[in-house]
Amino acid sequence: MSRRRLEALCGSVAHKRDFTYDIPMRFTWGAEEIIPLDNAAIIYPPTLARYNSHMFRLSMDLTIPVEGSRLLVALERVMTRFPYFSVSLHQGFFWYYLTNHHKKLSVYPEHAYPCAFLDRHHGANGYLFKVFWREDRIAVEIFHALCDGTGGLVFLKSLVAEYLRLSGIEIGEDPQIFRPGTPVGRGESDDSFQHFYKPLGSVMNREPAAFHYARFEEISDRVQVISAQVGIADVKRLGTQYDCTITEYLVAELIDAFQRVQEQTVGSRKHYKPISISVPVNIRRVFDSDSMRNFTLFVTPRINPRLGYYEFEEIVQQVKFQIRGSVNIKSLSQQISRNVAGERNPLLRFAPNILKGPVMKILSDSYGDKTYSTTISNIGEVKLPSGMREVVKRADFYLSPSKSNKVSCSVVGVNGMMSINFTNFLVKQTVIEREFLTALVAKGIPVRIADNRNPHVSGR
Amino acid sequence: MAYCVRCGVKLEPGSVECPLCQTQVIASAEIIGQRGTPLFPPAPSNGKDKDEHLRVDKRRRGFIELTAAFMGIAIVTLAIAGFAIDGNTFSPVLPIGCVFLGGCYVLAVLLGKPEYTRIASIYVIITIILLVFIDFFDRQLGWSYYCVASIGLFWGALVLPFMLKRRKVLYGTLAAIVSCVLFLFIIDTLDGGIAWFLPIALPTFLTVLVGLLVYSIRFRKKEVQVGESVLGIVLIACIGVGSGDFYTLRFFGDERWLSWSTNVWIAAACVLVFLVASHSIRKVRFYFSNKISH
Repeated sequence: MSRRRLEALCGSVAHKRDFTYDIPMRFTWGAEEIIPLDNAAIIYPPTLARYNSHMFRLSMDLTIPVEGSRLLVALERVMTRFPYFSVSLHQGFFWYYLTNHHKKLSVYPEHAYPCAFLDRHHGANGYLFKVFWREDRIAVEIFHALCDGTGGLVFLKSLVAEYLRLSGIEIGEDPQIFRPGTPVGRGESDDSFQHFYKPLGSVMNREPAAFHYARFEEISDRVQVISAQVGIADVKRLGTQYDCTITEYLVAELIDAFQRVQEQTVGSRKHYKPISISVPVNIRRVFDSDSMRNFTLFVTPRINPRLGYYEFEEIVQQVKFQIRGSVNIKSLSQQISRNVAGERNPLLRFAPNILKGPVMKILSDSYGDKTYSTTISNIGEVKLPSGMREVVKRADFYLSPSKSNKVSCSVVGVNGMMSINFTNFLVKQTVIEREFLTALVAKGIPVRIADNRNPHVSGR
Repeated sequence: MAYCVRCGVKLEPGSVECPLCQTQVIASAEIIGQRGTPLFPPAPSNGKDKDEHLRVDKRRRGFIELTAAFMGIAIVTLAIAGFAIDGNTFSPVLPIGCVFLGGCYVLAVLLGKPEYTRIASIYVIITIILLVFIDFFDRQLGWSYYCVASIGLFWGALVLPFMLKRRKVLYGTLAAIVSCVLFLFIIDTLDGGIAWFLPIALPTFLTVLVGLLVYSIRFRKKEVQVGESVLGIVLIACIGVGSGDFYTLRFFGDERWLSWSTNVWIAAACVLVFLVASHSIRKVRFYFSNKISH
């Protein structure tokens, strides 16, 4: 996106010099360097649970075979360029924190269910991410306290590029591929929320509770997947038809699917709840940040079906209006201000972790999970350099669902194909997925699906 | 490669049913195609895939072993003490039994599936065994009958309804009502024959039940104010207590309508007037201010 277009969308692009820069990013305690969690990450460790793993997964399927031993060498090389990934999580008296971690790295064979709970001590030898492989796939599962989807994507692309280089394939230059040996950028390990914090004195606006699909029989902590492959050009065509972006179109389809499900499952309109979708927005470009840690905020477009049935065009209008109205410097600064001010509040800051945990859980539920029906995260189309473009046949992105929002949706595209992956804890129900995907089919988009559920493939 | 006839989506080669709607694929083997590489490798058939959940199970196994070890040490210590100390002054049977059953409380949570109904049922059984065991220690059963009846009431009213598979609200309510009636009946018969069950307990219970029915119809499918719901329950409680007095007087053939419960009835009337007035005033206020009443 050009700078001019970005400025038209966001108002103006912020610069680091416009903001305060008064919080030390790291400090030492004895021989150990203490790295505070970034502002978005502080909520993840205390709310970590069996049904709330806060993991996300990025993977690339290759046309060449993948070997575990070579992948491990690639990982060891790449980790020298990602020192901020060589960390382990610890629970202090007041806060959770990170310290540098240099234990043995491992790669793990692919398993049946993605985004499983990661034990912070033993799960990946103390690391907060896990690298998986199978004959044609390289995947990383990352605990969200470490980085967001963009940071994870840069790490995966760098890892795959290094693996391909070790396999004798020449890879072209790409700003999102960090080669081992190149200098680490100064801003890569920064908590950009602290950089761009302005004390605005914003208030905590609490949204009403949103509709959650509740008619289910059985849940399992094994994350169930429905993965749909669609052509990016097809979705773009529909987006152009409704004069909106691909993300806006997919959000509108998801809201429409929830609207239909609410109509099917809730008896009377007066008991309908608002339908709200949490859409993570990568704000690096808005604030000109290079951070590889979390730097994402959420926009939550919503409709209130109690006011009547929303036609699809109306939903698209609402989504466009709400997303575009929220993605600007002022609105985003207000969100940053709210989040960072909460972290800096002395009451919260100096409360012991044992008390802070339950408070965080209540805040996370009441201001987060309960106020939206699901999450859709669109990383966008992954641009690949020459050498990689010919080898990567598919990319996937999975978000872990939570106990409140049992269905999550994540989207990524590569080489003209888009993967729309639904993850959920419901063993049998696929109502949301079906409503969403059949709506795409009804609009003329060919959809190909796969899953990891019950034995449905002959011979399994 | 087949398509789902209901959803219209293209399925993976080798798929025999649609993952979205579970519709069977009825097509020739050529169209269904050969099974390719699945999206994720299939889970091991024994369900023990090598992921983090095994670690949770390992930790749980540690707690189980620790509990069993503590139980074993306590039982052996008590048994040795029983042999060492004169039998007339100390008998280890009761403490050993209590330690064993106490350990069972902890193990029930660790060994079984962590479900409310399952754990509550196991606790009910262990508690009944423990109480009967303690009561039987002096070679005759007495007070434990009442305890067993009370625990049975808890299970019937608060556990059984959650175990039902179908029409949970209807059958669960019925189970709770039957449990209450049975409890009152058993408590009455334990004193030797039916005395106060039919003339006092049953009519009082039915009066409360009618009150609850009216309450549930009034508040069904409505977002009730907290104050209103609390006062509604206070009103039903007052009516229940007052009707108990009324039926007791009828049972003893007293000519008075009410004895000590007059003030309770007056309080109930006040609460009722307040509820009606509050509801009416709110309706009128919403009508004139064009607000939606919820």
